[in-house]
Amino acid sequence: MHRAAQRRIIIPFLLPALLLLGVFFLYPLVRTVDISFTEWTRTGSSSYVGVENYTRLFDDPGYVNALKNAFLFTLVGGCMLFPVAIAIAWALNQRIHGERFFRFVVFAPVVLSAAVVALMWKFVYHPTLGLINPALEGLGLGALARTWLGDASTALPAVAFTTVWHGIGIWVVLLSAGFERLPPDVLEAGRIDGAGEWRLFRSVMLPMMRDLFRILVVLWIVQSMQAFAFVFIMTNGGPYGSTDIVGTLMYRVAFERYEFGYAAAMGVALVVIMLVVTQIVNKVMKRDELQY
Amino acid sequence: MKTRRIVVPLAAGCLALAACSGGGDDDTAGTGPEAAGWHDEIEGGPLEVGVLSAEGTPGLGILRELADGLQADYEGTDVTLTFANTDARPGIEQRWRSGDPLDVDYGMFDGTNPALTVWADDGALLDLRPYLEQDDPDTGEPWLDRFSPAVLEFMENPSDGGIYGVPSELSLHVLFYNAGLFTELGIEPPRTWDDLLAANTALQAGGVDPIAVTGLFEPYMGMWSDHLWLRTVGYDKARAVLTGGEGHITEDPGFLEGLEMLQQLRDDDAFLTGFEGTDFTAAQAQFFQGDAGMILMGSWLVSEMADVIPADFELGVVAFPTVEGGAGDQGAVMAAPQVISIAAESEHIPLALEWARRLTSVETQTRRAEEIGEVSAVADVPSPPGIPGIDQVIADAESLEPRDYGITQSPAMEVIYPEIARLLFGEQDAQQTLERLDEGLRRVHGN
Amino acid sequence: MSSSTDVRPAPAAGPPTPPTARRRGRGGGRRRGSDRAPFRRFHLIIYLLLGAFAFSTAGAFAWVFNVSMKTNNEFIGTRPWTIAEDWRWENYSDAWSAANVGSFFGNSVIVSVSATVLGVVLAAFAAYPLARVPFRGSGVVLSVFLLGLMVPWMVTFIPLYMTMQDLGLLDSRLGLALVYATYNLPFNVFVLVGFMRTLPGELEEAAAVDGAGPVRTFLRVILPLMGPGLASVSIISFLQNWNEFFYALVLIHSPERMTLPLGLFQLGQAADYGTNWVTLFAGMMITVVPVLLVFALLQNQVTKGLTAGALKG
Repeated sequence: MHRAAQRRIIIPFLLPALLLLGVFFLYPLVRTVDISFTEWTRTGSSSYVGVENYTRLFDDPGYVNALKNAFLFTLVGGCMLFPVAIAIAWALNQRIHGERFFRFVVFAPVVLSAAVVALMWKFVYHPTLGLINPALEGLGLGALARTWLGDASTALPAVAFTTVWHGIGIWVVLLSAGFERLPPDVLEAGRIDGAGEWRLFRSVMLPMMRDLFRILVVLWIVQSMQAFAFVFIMTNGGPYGSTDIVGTLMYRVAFERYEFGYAAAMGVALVVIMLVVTQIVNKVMKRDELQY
Repeated sequence: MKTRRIVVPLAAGCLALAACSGGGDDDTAGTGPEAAGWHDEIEGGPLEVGVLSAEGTPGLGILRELADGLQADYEGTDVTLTFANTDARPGIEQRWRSGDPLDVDYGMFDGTNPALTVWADDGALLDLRPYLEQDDPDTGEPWLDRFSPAVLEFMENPSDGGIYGVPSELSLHVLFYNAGLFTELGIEPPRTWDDLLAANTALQAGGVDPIAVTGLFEPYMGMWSDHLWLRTVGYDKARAVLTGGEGHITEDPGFLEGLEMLQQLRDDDAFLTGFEGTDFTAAQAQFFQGDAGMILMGSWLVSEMADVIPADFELGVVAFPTVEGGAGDQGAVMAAPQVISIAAESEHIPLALEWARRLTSVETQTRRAEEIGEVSAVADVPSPPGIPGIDQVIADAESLEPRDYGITQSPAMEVIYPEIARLLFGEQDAQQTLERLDEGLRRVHGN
Repeated sequence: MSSSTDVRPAPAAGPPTPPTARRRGRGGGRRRGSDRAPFRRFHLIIYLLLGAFAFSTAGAFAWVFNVSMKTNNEFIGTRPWTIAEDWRWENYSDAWSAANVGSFFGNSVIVSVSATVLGVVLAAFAAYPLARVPFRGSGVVLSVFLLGLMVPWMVTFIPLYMTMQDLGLLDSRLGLALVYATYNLPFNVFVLVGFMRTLPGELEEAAAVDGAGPVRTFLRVILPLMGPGLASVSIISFLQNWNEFFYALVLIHSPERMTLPLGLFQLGQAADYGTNWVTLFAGMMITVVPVLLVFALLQNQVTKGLTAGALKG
């Protein structure tokens, strides 16, 4: 009975948000798609070129490389982010000493601007003036010293690490709110039954937070596939394209070469790819009921 | 060419006045006041001027004084200085596209770069030639005569002969060296490539890395190949192949020669230790700290680093070394003037012209040279005292050539500088670099 | 916060335990002792992990503060990790005036707060039917919201600019706030849907049995249980709006309407093209403090306050 009453609120509840989204997002998006079928000049004149921008994409090794790196960035960053963020969020929900302090401290880097954080980490990674290489040498591990950002094999993980370090607070906030939402009586019951914390975590908490995890993973994918700031400031895609991701490539195409039509096509293609990837992730991570 | 905007702005929707001002009456577009006697037509009014100097820098201070002067002389004048450099450009250019341009702006025109003549071709910029040909009220000579003839090609649109910008300053690409260190080690400033190699050896013997360079910004590494090819290939030929898509890079032996010389620097370990992971601020700072003996950079280096150059640091500059037997231009210097243009749709064209005239006056240019170390494109302006030797570089320059062959604004950018980085990082040798460049250039130019 | 699990109700309604008495005291007085779990061995690993992170954060802030106290010459000329020779508070006054903090601050507060409130409130309403009322097309609507997170600003900003121009919203704080709210929506909706789905399904039935309509159920039963989720998205939205740079740069050009990130951008440019680093760091400290305060406030008051307070009423 209450289901019928509930249905009456669907439209009024959704409408205001959809209205804003329609005007300031969907409408510009449609226009972006429109632009992607044109050749734009710097002065804004355009001529229709059909799907040429899209066919060009797949012959463009720069775009393919940027996509590959974007996936890599997402994967590497995700592996750095989630285990640590989950561990921290879980830890903050254990009744530990100084929890309030730790909560604050984990969040704090988020408020610093990317420019300042990137600068600091560029110094940390600096091959001779930095902190890492001298420390490694001090520990007798000089063989592990690298030029970090200047090494095609370490640059991407190094930038991903900086990105994760800077933004982890957001994920911890979300995850920790998820842990807080867990019904305490269930956990209490588990504890009374003598389940260890690890066991509780694995068999009670994780399954209960499955929906939240799935959403956060999707959010991470969507966010990191479009990552821009740290790569732009720290390596600008170098060394020789090894950190070039779709965001930095599009920036160059749009604002250095002024090929907006092509940049728009890159953006639209990225959106399609992300839609596909997130759908797959959604399917994979969903075991139970089929809701969306 | 006619501009087709994707959407015609809805006049009724223009509630925000600022958004519409300046965009309005199209009938005034493109037609400035009569050239003769424009100076008597100046009327006070609002003027929005794009500037390259950020808030809190001495460069902005000079411009603000210039604005105050204009406001004092013409009643009702209100000059807004809008930051219009680098990351601000996307927004600024969108305003141009939408019919809300700044009255005076940077970066809208460069006669040597096809990517930067489009605004003039589309009628967005005022042709300054008629005004520049009028006698300057202060000097009695045509305003145009103030500028060094070497920069005219940057100001002039090859397609119609109009002049769409005047340079407020000039950046020259030069080889900076640590003069104190050179004297101490008994090294001569490198005029030729052999001098440079000798200097490298001597510096290394003295325990100093020869050349500071950043590995984290590819165009700065590319400066080396740009300059070597200038000497071994020549400007016009190199430009045609690299960005013009005419011919192939394998056809002129000068390209490989240049790459081999670059490889030699790498094989000699001439570059700063760890340059691969050193960003440009750090690389420049390390040069001024004496960690490296030389750095190839634009003349802006001194004004950029002014705050942090040690008081006892002795700086020297020379033009990029000549290459004996090189087939290219041995006397050419790479340069980039910063050019200001005036919007054809500006409602205060005479006032905008007066801003440009005052900014390019000998007086203002001299202040800029002396106080912030800018090199001027205006005749009779002393060269900046902070860059000893730059006057000689200018005097000896047989020609000024546009920096980087327009690579950074062309699709060739995706090919050329990454390959140069690979060469410098030791990933490949000169021959492999040439082959990969050939492959990439054929792809982007479709030839 | 998280530890006082006793303030939350058992999931299937039932009379909630009253919230713990005002936790004003410091240290042990803040909580009842029995709240804290006895020390276990794995706590060591937790402390190690948190300690490492805390150390890196504290180090980062100390470094930023240290640099903000240096001269440019010191910063560039000595190793980046040396301690400032002197305390140069004048860097702060330089930053204050160069970044126009005095006049930009108010704009940032107005735009960020209004956009955050709008974005969170609309998202909460939109998330509810998506999470808990099964209807045909809910998947599509959710995908549309998800799409909102996927579109890179580098390519949509031109159409957005044109749209804003058509609406007469260019160069206005209202326009900027609406854009921010819109771009907060997808994230907020997505996260809130996630949280709402973790609530037990019997909530609505129980409320319906008590005779509450769906709107009342949402406002009185669901929203109060969303405390931590709402606080989280509020914090994150506010942070994004407070720091947002690109849309502000493109959509605002009158100095009297600019926000703080545009001031910070000026400082960043002065650093990049004039090595004036120390002022940038001082400016960073100035703009960071309000956000840290907001976080501390939201963390300590809203997270608990919302949950506990709402349950009382």
